[in-house]
Amino acid sequence: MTGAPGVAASAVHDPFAAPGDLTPTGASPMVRAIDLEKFYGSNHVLRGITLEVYPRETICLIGRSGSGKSTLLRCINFLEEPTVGTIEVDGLTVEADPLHARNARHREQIRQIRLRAQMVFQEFNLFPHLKVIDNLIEAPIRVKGVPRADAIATAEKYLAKVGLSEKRDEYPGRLSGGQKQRVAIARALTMEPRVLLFDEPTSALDPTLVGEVLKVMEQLAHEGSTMIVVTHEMAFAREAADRVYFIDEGVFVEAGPAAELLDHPRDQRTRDFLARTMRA
Amino acid sequence: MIAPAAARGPLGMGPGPEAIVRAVAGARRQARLRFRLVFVATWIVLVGGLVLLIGSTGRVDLEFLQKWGPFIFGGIPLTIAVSVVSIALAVVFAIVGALGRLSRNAPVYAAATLYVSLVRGTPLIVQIFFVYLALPEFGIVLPAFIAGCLALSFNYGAYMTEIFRAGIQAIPRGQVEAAASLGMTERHTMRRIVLPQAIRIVIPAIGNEFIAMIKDSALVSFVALQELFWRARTVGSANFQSFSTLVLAALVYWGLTIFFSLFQERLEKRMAESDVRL
Amino acid sequence: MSVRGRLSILAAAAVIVAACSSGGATPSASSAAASQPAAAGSESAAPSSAASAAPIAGGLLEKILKAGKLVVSTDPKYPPQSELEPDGTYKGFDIDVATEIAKRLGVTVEFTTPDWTAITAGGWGGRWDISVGSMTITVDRKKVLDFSPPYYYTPAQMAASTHSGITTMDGLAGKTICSGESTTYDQWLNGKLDYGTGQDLGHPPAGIKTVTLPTDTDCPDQWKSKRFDFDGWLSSITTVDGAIKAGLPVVKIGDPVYYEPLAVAVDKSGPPDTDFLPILTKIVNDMHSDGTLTALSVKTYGSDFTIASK
Repeated sequence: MTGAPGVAASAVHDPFAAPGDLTPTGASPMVRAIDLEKFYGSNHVLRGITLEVYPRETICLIGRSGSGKSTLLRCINFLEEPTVGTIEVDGLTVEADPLHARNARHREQIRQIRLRAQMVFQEFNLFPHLKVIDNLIEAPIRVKGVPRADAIATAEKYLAKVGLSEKRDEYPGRLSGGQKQRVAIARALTMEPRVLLFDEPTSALDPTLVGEVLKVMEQLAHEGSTMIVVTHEMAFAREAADRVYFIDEGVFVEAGPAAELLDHPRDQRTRDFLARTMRA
Repeated sequence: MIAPAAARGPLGMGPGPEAIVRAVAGARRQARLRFRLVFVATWIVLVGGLVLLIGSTGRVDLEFLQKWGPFIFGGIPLTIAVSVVSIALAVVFAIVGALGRLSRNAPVYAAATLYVSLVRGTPLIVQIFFVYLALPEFGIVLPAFIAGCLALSFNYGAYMTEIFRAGIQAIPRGQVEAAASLGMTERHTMRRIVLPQAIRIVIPAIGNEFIAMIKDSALVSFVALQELFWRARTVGSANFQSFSTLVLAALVYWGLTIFFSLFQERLEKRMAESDVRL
Repeated sequence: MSVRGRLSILAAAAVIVAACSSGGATPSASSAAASQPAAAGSESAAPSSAASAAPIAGGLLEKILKAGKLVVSTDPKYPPQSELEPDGTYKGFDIDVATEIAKRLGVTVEFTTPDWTAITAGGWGGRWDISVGSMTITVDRKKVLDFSPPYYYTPAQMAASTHSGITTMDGLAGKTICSGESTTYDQWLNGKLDYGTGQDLGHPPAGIKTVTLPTDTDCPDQWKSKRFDFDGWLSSITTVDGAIKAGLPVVKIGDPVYYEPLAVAVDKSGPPDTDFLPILTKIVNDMHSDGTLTALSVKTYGSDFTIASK
């Protein structure tokens, strides 16, 4: 919206974008996905996606499975190489280059993006042969070169934040699903990223364990972390998100402030999707 | 079967559930015990039969074996040493080979594939002679122990390459994705995340290879190493008692194999129980 | 991790044990009494081997004198030429000869036990200095090995299993005859034995087939095991006598078919041996002329095989 003060007028046009409640005035978007297209073979999964996320806001992406929401998230940190498009995180811009995806320079650019955009996975993906604390400090020490003592201090801080200080020296195998995911969140936080990406973080969890993870995520959102969350948990979206985007067949159908979209969807497709989801 | 009144449960309707559970557990335990007893008894019968069969040939000279037994047993430490050193080196070759077989770099992949094909395609004894006799032609003269171990490990490395490759590929993709997402390079990921987990997976397979290696260590007798087989064969040939000495050697190899198999079983059990669950 | 720790300790222990017990570095029992410790370098007063000039740099003689020991290859599957004692030391005619040669060089003797095929092939890689193994001088072997003068001559004796009922040379016509791998016996049976002296060595019986086993004594051993894949056996008379003495079902057939000159061998592709060979030659000739070889032969075989016959 060109009217917002300080927002740079650019060629990028995410019609649904708007600074969040906590976004500092005049800040430009932290994350941009510009004109993304993604093909898997002949399957056109992303058909022209433009997304802008402002600092300190929380965005939820909702949609059916196969709609492309996970693919979009994974394009942002280049776990998938988009076919066409540009990704921008914290000022770092990388163009999709599928032909030269293995190029050293491109891979290094991608690595820089990933340092700033940490992901929490549906299957947690903790390293089972390392203790919890070692899971957290492995990358800060060896990737960012943080001194060991500092890394440990940071790790312990975030471990406390997710409420698992006492599990510091445990192996992931001994933790419940909810605990594993919270450790995974702490691992992402210990890298002190600019934005957190959540890929259906509670979908693999037993329903009784979902709550503890969502609580942590809500707290992070309220404290002002920049978050992009792919999820089915509508209550969480309502509680923690500044905006919710509904994606269907590779395009954004509708987006807006959480309560508005969830309670008063404008598009029929959105209504159908929400009706089916709420029924559960 | 209606239980006697004394065993009826609190509602007086039959034996209480706890009693039944105990009875079932007891029956299971007895069945397991019976199984193990019959197992041992069968072994005793079969092995005893074998012993009688061999003894009945009249070709086993116990007095001779008593005289030469200590000397022949003296080859056991060297047999074990060759096996242990060779399997350790083989693991190194296998990891390098597996990484090569997984590489996207064409020359590296080609070299690794050639290694596996060539070494698996030529007899081990030929390879041992090659390292011992042919390398000196190129100016490389290795002491017998090193030559023997090198040939053995180079050979086993080729077979174990495929084992390690499978182990590495068994690591879930999510592990690699998480490492990548944390900003780790591919090399860092392989060294700190993938290989440590892969090695745990393949330890049982390595144990099997080690047990095979104990038998193949006999081939280093050709390069002047006086291990178990060399001693049995030499003493036997010189005194026309090959039957006796080779039976003895076979028993020793069998004993060694059983010993290390038990050790490996315990190792596998510990791996299964450990905190490392994938 | 404790498992890894335990495994590495096991590996380290194994390597240490191996270093102590590997190889055939076991001096013969008799060498301890017979040999004198060598003084270092060229001032070693080698009693009867007049090393007048300084040894060639990098040569075999220099290597032996510097190490203070003579490394000899032997194959202890060959009583009474070479066999093991229960304590791991060696005994036999070849062992005695090798020990004496070392003594006359002024060094100790050390034995190593590679496979016979490796010894006759040359290309020893410097792993041992000489072979005293009752090796026959042949044209083929001269291509890769240098020889001393013969230190004894052994009759090659034809034999048959008692089971076969054969008693004459004619009886072996058309039969299968066994011999040891890489031996001259196998070569003679196949008409390929050549000393390079133009000497006529006779012919094996007509129409025979041949088979080889890893070592000579494996042949009668198969008869002992009641396997009769072959009826005949060709080996040295001493080995045949030894088998008969050990009670194997062997019977000698006819007179010795030829006599073999057996000599000490040196690797042509090893360290330069031009200064070593004359000394070796002199030692062997001395051992002939002063009766040492005769005495050793009689001690082991009961006869003097050191003179050329036929």
